[in-house]
Amino acid sequence: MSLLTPLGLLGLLSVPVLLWLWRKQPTRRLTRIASLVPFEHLQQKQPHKRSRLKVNLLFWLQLAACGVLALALAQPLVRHAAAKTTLIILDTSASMGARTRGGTVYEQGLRALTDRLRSRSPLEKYFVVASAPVTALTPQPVGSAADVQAAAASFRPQATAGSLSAAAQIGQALLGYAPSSIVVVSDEPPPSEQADNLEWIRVGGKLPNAAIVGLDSEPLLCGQASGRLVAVIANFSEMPLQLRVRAKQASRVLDEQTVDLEPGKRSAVALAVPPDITGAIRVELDADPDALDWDNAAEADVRSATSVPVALSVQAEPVRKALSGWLNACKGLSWSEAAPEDPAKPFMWVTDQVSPSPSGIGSVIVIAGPPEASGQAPVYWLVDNDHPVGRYLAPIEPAGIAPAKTGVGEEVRPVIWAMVRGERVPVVAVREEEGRRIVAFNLHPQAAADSSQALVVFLNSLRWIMSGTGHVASAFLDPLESNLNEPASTWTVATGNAATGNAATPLASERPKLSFASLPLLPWLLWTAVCLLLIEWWRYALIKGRPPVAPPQDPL
Amino acid sequence: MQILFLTLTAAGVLFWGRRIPLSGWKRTAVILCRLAALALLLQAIPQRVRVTERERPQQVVYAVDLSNSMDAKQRLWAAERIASLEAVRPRDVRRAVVAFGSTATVIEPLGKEPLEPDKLSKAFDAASVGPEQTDVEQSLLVALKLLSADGGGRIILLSDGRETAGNAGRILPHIRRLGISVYPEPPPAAAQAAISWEAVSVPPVVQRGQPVPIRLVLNNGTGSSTMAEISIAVSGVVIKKGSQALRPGWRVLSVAVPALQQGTLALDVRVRTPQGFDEQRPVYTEVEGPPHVLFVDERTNALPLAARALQQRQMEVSLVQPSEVPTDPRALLNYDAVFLFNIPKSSLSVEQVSALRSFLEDSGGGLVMAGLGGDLAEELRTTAPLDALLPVTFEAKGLQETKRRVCMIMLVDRSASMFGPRLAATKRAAVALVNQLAAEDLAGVLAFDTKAYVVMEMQPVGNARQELIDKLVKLHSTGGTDVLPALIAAQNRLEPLDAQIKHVILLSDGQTPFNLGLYRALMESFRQDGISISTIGIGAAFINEEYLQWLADKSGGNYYLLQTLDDLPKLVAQDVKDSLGRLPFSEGKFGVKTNPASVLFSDAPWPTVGGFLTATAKPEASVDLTVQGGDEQSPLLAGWSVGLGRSVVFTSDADTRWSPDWLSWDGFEGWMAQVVRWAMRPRFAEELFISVAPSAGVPRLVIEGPLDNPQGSLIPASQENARPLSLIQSRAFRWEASLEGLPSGWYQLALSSHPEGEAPRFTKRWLQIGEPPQTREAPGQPAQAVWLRAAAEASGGWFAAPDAAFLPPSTHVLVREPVSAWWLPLVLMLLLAEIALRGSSQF
Repeated sequence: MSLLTPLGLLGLLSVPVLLWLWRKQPTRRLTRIASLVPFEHLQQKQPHKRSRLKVNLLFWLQLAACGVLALALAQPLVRHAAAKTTLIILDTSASMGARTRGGTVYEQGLRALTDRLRSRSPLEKYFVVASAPVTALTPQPVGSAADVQAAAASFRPQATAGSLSAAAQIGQALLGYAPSSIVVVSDEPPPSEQADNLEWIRVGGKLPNAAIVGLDSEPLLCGQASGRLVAVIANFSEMPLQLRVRAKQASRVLDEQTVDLEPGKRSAVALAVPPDITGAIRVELDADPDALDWDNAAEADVRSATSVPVALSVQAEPVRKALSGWLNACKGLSWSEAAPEDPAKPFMWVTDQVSPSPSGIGSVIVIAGPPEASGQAPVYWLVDNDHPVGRYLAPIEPAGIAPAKTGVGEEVRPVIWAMVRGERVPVVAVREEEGRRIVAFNLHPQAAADSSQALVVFLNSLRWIMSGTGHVASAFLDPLESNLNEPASTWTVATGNAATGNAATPLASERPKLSFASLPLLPWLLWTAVCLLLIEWWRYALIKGRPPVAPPQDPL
Repeated sequence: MQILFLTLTAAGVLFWGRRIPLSGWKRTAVILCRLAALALLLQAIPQRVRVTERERPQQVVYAVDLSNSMDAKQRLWAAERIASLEAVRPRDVRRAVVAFGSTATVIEPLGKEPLEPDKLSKAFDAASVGPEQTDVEQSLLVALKLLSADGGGRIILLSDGRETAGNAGRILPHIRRLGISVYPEPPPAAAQAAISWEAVSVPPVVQRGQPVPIRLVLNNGTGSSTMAEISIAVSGVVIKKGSQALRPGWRVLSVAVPALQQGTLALDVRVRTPQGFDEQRPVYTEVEGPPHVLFVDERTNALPLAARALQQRQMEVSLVQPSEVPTDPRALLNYDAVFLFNIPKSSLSVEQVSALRSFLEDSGGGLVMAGLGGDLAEELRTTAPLDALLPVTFEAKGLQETKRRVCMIMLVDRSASMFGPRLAATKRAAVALVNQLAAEDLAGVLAFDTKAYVVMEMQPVGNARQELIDKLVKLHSTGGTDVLPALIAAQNRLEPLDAQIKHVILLSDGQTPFNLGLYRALMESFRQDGISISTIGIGAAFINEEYLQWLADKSGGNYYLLQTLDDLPKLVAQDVKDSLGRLPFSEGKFGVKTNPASVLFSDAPWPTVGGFLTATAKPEASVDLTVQGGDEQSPLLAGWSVGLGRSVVFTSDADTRWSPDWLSWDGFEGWMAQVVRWAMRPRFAEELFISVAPSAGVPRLVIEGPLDNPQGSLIPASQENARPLSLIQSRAFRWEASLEGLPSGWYQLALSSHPEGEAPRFTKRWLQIGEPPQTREAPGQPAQAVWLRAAAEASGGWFAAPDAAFLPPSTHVLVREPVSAWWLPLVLMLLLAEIALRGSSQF
């Protein structure tokens, strides 16, 4: 047996207290004679003699109760051999929060799991893992169905998507070995080919749902502001629905639209936002019936300006001319050769100063030194497409433009390298410092004036810097979770390295031949304590023939 | 249940409480104490938990890469780096060390004592982690188990990031949600640099016939030039091989292969150098080409004119027999439409029709059917699985064709003069005769010497071919010659038939008794019956040309003098052709009219048809062209939608038999192409920009282009489970989908755009998600800084700043503790207080 909280045994300190209370009580009745009461103060007090503790059944019952309660505080566990370990994966993704007549889909799942546990083997133990987020609900395998149910009931579906296969993988890793069987409780369809040790408990069913699946609030870099917010809504039901979409800021409703949507259809709803409104706007969706609420809201940030003004500060005339051409290529982009008069308004720099002014939201620093001579060999760019500045370019781009010789600093993160004469030279590098985004552009704009790749990268840089001003994203629920009629399966066979076809290495070592389950004794101890206290109370009530000691009454 | 217990318990306490030997306020207090104690106990039994936040010292796991890609110098660096980090580690922060290769193991459990580099080096040497692979995923899972007890923690990953097994990217987002961050730091350059292959790229889509440019980025760290042999293979077959100079440093090598076939082009690119470098990687691209039509015809020796018309209109045509139509709908995805050309409905099996149905319903494919093959009457009468896909129901109202065309009989002289090669040539001629005719035409073969014998009775040619060949094999020459009985026998068979052409071909030497009166009467009856005779002189010696010529002239046929035996089949074929040329096309033609409701065609003069299959359009079908013939207007061209796809039927044959006017019509090519284009899968012609962009550490697929309500899925190169994409529209022409948890590798993006009121458009692209997987475990290669940086971002850590893992030195964790931890002490106190209140009443 082991103790989860050994400090709980401090509860045994109640035993000496109990002993002291019993020793303190007089065991003989004190008879007071009315006529002697006025003279009690003259009575010589007998010296206190240490006497033996006189106890009865009540004492033992109370002692037992204290002992049981102290032991319960320590949360003892008994290990017993278990022949079978079952990994239980509970789908706690957002779709499990859908409402049905019998409660949520998750509650249906818990009931189904309870039914399943009724047929459990006494030597079976369970390890429970939630899928969204992937969390172990039981710190270690438990052998009691009650513990499983308690662990499952303590968790609720989250407003996020989950992955059953990731839960299985991480669950096995936390377990430390491969389980004998896996039980999945989910609203997803079971895999077409089910392993023998996989048991799938599917709950839920086709439920009506409408959701916000798109929100367009990011203005175009080179376009005009539309002044509208476009929300895309979808009807994931099997019946036509009338949907109400509204845009609100705080409690003020900015615009509301009503749309009739056929089953399985989507629609873009334009919500007019007054020109004076900027900042966070909440878009809400009402539909009836609608089983899931988490996908009925989204947040967006609306800016009044299409883009942030650009301040061009370049000393070299050829560079300034080339950059002016690039900036003019983007209609709708406002730029000037000086910082805005109002310093509070956001703007950004395009400059050739290596250490630009700290004002503004960010900078594109054009390092316009003479180009690295490449000779006759073509120059290729190696592009990190994962970064927004590297978007729209191929991973290996024949750019034909050599970088400037000066290079960029070591502390930056290169996004585009040029391969020249066997060297890998950073061409475009980014960094963020104190909330400002900076792009170092290691090209001579004049040499790159006709290069479409250079222009694309330059515009990407502007967009990246401008997108750093306030969040534009929205708290979107993955639409795969919203489609309650055709839930997508997140149970995929682990394929390891998909490209090389390497099979997934075993996630855990072999299951130990003898594994143990921990059986917590706490519930048993609590019930025992209840019984002891009831029995003790009953015995106390049975003490007869001894009327209570009444306080002396004045005979007069 | 709990409330019931609570109620019963409270009732018991109150009931017995009346009898306790106490009174006054003590009694009340004691009862209340007992009630409270029992209530607290009963509430604690369900083991409710209380979640509290506590501050706990940070926990850090050092994950050290001990695979073969890390040489001894780099391993030593790892030990020293850990020691240097230990020097700045706050003492309260607990640390552990996990070593990994193909497996992972804990070599130092969680503890606070600082780690010595010597001890670590020894532990690294002793660790058995399988250095043949680098499985970062395993190391993260083992570290997770160490850190999971209390929740939260940091992992300092000392590795070159060259993952050759597992897929760490798949679990990083989940680790992040558990409050664990990864702080990768790459090792310094290896002691001895080698050649490494850093990147390979191909365009996501190319056009058929264009070269596919493949670019490889190699880093030659050896300091000397070498030759790199590059080979490109498709399905294991090398299609290109060559050597290029690889000079020191970072180099880009380019290779191009032609894109010959539409669909996915999977290439295995292999690079080898004399220094022992040998690595192979797959790349994928989608080859797009013109519309591809699967043309199904029973005769595959030559393309029908309808197929050639499609080729003229820049469509690719593949000709197959009905038995070769795929049963797997995925095989049909290489085509945009399937064209069934005059084949029997019954020639397609249930599985083939099921594949066609899936092709139409799910993939938006097209089905075009022109005419029917086989026994038309039988085909019209019986139902077949294909009927459900067609917009018309064929009904046996009778084939509407302008009378039966041809009835022919060949009279073969089997007298002694026809022995040997002459008889053999005659047999070949008989087969040539049958091949010239349509399946519905009637043909028969009679042999004669002094009497007529039936070789093959008059019957439809479609049934006759094999029987004729079988019977001809047994034919042998014998006896003398008398043509008259044979002519009478032929007349007896031809006279009752209602055909446009009744013709006899006589092969004989003409050495026969000739009674002029009888022959004149016979010829007169032949004339009245519309029976013509062509004669071909064949025989061993003297040929009675005068007789044979007289017969042909009197009956309106032709006389041919055989020069060589080889000419015989040709002469028969020529004669049949001449006979067919006498078909009265000017009579019995059916006019064609445009249905006013047609959306495809406007009212225009259409060519006539000589025949069509009688049918009724189904209620959901739209009829574009109708035939003016028979009792009512019949559909000639009808179509309807089947799921996402379309099906069209042309009830004439689009061939020489019923539609010769169409074939010779100038607009035939354009009309045929228009019909097929209407039915076939629409193509997505606009340009798309597809990229993968991280957003708050979660990779997102970004698709930009003119799409309408797009739906998509990602199919891994291994063809395993496709992952549906939940595309969220974030801008007017931009959609995004989360790729969280998706293993890195090659994927085919299958995308469809669904414009309102129009058929969906499909397109495919290949893209590589995540860093290219490493296939080679060898030292001397530079670290995969991009991969390591991405791992840091995905998990909320920092790249190349491992000491940041120690800050802050403590963390807040959520602790779940049962409420009994608080209530049980209260119960104890209540119990003791109650006992104290009882006093001596307990005795």
